[in-house]
Amino acid sequence: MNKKQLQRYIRNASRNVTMRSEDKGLVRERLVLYMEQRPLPSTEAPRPIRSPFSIPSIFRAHHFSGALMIALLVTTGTFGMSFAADDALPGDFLYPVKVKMNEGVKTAFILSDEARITFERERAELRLREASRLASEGRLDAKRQATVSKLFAAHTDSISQRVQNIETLDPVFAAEVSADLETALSTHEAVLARLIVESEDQVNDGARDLIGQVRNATQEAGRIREGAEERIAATMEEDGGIQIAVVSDPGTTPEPSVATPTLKTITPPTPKTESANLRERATYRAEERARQNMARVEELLELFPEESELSTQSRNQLLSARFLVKLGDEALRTHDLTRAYGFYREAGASLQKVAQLLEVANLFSIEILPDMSMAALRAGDDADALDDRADIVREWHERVSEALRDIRTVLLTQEGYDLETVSQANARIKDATALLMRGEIAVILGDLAKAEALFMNSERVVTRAHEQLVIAGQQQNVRGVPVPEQPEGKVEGEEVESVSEPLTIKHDVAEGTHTFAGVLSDTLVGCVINATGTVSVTTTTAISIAIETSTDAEVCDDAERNFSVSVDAATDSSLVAVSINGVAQPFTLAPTVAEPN
Amino acid sequence: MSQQQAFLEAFDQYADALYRHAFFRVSDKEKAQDLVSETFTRTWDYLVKGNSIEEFRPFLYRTLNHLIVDEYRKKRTESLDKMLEEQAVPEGAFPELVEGGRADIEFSLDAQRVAGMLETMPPQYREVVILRYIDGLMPAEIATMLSEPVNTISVRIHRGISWLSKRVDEKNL
Repeated sequence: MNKKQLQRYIRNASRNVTMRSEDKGLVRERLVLYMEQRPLPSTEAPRPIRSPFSIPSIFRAHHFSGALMIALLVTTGTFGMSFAADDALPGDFLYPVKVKMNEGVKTAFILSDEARITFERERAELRLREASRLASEGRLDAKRQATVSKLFAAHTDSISQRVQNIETLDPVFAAEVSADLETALSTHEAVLARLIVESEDQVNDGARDLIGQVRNATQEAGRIREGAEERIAATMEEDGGIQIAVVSDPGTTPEPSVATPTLKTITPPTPKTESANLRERATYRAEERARQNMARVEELLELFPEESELSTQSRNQLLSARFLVKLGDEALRTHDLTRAYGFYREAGASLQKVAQLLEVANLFSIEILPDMSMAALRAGDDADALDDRADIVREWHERVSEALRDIRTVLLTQEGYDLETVSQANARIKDATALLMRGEIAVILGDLAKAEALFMNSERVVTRAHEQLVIAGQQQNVRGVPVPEQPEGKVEGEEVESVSEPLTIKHDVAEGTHTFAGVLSDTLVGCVINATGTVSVTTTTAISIAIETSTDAEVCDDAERNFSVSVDAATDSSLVAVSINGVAQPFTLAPTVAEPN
Repeated sequence: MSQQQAFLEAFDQYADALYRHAFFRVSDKEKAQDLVSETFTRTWDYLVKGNSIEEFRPFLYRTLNHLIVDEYRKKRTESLDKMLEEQAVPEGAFPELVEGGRADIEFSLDAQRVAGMLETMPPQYREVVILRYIDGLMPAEIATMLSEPVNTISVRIHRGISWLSKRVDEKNL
């Protein structure tokens, strides 16, 4: 029995262990008697609520009453986005309460952009942790993922907007927060990918979309960071440099001509990390972060004496980070702030990632190794080899995607194959698609070698299938038809595809927007309740449509059988897949109309 | 709502979960019940002294935990029990120590098996594994309760489950 099964077994087996109701009743009665014999002291005076020790400085501002202040504080993180705070997960009954009340209500009290950014960042990460937890239990279905995605998008949009607002005023903060976010998100992406693979469920498109979404957010954060860093680099080198008004804390009056400490400092500001000179400030703060992360990783490693690959790699990363920090110190000595900043930042980022992975290993009992490319990039000379590898992998991916499209087209536009041939071909397509998806995940996890192997395998499978079709085509009476009819009756393994008629879909392109429209075929009962189009994250020219129907008379009172979907995508994009209620639907594109009506 | 009402509501809400926890820790129904009862009376004493409790759940668990640990210490005086405290416990339960209460038709076969599995675990693993998988507390909550760093707890849980999974197959579940 593996560990996860064991965990589940323990959980389920213990559920029904309770006291008998008579026993519980007896205990309660005794308790009540006990209580009556020992009355409480008079409770007129309201009890003082014990407040935790450290209160982020933002809350020290005057307008908040004591009770509110306390109510806003929880255990970990700047704003307490902790696991312990509450357990509700997407799909749970209390989840909306958690998001709107527990989290949402705080936003009214967080006034400054900086604090709000930090807050939204923690919320975004919390969403991903929730998704990770669901994935680790094999519960990240499409519906829950949609909830997570929506909220995650809202948080990251808010972050992007605000960081861009604040970039001019405080590029150091902007650079820092986007760098942190970038690292954290890319690690989350790897964790999610691994968890999805490990939970024995099949990879579903919903989960892939979330990963894609995270990846986009990571890249966006990276772009913002680079922009902010450029801005810092562009400031004048002389000390005293540009004097900027830093966003001030609501309780104090800003003095525009002097740089005031940013909100994030609770302790009295040290001169260098709060220097008016942007570069200095950025550099010394990067140094501080690097050292903090070093300490954190050291602490985590102490609890990891096991001889695991993860702990070995983590120790190595720690060593190289120490080395990087030394290089940074050297650069500082020669007053080369830019180089020093670069070294410190890289050390800090790699260690942030390691720390995150160590924590994940604890929580989910899985090992994800620090990204190999990090080590390669440091060496510098391997970077090119890595790029070549990445290009090759990308090429394979293209090739496989195209091959799959082709063979699907062949199956749809030719008729006359016998049942066995078709079912074999479908089975192979299914295998090849699975290999393709696993390859995509390997790419995310940084294992390019594995990805390449998987894509190659996938292509081999498709080629075989295609060959077989060609051979069968020669032997059997196969001919091309515009709207083929699938052989009737159930076929082993792919019953749905061969029973339903292919759907005819009209495709129009105008200024980057693709519109697909059609009508449900007569063999399909019910009405259309929803139709969505998505562009594949990995193959940006591949569009897929998902149609939801219902046979419920109440829902279908207007008996809508038409559907229309619009998607923004590259002009040369094409429709690769249609599904109805989650089941793949063969389709064919109607010949394009020459003139609009 | 008065303090008394809140307190009794806490009883209604948490007594079963606490009982479950106690049972898997001490493998004795009667004992588990007594522990739950005492947990609540002690909590009431705490309130009577003039303190306040913001969240009952962690407080109750902590109290129960102390009582259970005391229970173990009491058992120490008996020679056979010494072996339970040691790290390398030979496989198989010690049924003679569990007079009066474990194998009961009221609890499912699986629950009994789980109790049996847990009995043989080294106590520091047993504690956190029960808190995590039977009580459903998150590592951070357990850490707060036991006043230890989260990572220590996580590692211990991880090791506990590893310990179990190695031995469980051999037990032919």
